[in-house]
Amino acid sequence: MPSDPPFSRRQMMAASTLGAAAAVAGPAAAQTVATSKGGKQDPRTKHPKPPFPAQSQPWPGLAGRMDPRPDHGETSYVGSGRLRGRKALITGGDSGMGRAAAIAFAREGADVAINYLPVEEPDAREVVGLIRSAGQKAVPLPGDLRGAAFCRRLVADAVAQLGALDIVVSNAGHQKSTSSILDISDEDFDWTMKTNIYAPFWIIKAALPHLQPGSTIIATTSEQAYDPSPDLYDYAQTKAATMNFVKSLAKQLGPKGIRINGVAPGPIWTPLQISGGASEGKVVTFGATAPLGRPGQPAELAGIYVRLAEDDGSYTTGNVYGAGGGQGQP
Amino acid sequence: MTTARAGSRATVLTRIALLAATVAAGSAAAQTAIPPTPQDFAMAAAQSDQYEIQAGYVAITQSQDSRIRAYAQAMIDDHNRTSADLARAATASGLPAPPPAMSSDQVSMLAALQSLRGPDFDKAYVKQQVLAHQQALTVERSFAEAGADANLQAAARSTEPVIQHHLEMAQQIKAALGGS
Repeated sequence: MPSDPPFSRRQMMAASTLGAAAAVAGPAAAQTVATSKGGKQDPRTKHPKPPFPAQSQPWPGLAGRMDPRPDHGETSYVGSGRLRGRKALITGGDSGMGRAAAIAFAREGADVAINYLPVEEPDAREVVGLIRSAGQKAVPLPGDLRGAAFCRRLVADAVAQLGALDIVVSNAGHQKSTSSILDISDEDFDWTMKTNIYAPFWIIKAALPHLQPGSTIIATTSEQAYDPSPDLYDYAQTKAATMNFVKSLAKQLGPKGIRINGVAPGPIWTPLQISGGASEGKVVTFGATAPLGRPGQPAELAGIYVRLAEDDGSYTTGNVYGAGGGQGQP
Repeated sequence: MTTARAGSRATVLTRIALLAATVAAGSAAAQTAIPPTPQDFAMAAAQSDQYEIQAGYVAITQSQDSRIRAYAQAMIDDHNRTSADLARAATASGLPAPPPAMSSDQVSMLAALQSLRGPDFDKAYVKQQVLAHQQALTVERSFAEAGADANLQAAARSTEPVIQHHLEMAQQIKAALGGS
């Protein structure tokens, strides 16, 4: 194995306390590379299915307080050096798919900066701990993405603390379910647009000067981009916009050697849903519409983010990979 | 993608209404209907149970109307029971228990419920319930009368009056809401 930073005794104890599936190969190894898990499980029963307890938290909500807790791959994701030497910035990296990507990236050998809202600190601290347990550098960068100045500072701080930047995961999102357009205030609309469309614009712009050829950008879109729910008029159009800019930027950045792709989840069990993103009735039956009969867990999408970030996927750009349990597009 | 996904909720409900009209035309129409095969019956009945249970969960969480919440709880309880009866009957006949899936139309109906709130939710739920039970009644009745498997036919015969009762309850609530 190439030289990786040695595991400290504290990190090894932390890893086993977390019950990480990764076996520690010895003090000189920072990463597990035992045999990968392999095998197969029944996807219908692998994770919890509805009905779920009725629950709601104020925006943005904490994964740590959801029932059941989402699975971001904490005890299951096994890396194999696929992102060795890479430097990643992930927005919304405290919970949901961003967290799953952060854990996976770290276990694949990348240093990871995560952005999140300050009130999400309890979740973020867990993610920082998991990144460090994997032997990688963790850079927590809390703050609200809804302003250009912060977004520029976010990227500058990430570059400064990581030393470089070659993966940008634009994943943070705001989602509020409103049955009628008439009930969406100007402030609500702005909140969704600033988070889901303006912030990606500011962040990608700020990041580009630092991205060398071979770098990758990944944006979280949604099945909502293709077949929107009637109560997500504002959110869904931002996901359509995201899917669209993945394709326009792929054309623009391909000649510069930078790839950009999208991930389109179906119903995934994250704090987005229990803090206003879905009606309470939808939360209780979340994922019942999917042929697999349950919602997805963030852990089930981690591998997609890794795939789109790794050098091995070098011909994939301008594409959108889905994970919808059998429903929706792509 | 399935046509149901491409269709609007109104189209889905219209299709179910057309089917339900066959039932409403009178029991004579049902008696001459060709019953489904045991496998198709089991699947249709299981789908109906699954839709009723999931829609019930949305309703007990989402409806502000205590009558509707009580009705929805009854749906959850009764359809869990009919679903268990069905599974037992299928197993007794050496058939695989049908998986807890819904039809595309039912998925669309559930998705519609998941997006609604307030009085709009109540109206839509009750409207769906009347149509869905009319459809379920067609399925149960035709198999209860002339189904080709004894165990499943017995299940249909005990489920049919439950569905009939549900339909009446749904129609009462619909009338009370002033539904069209």
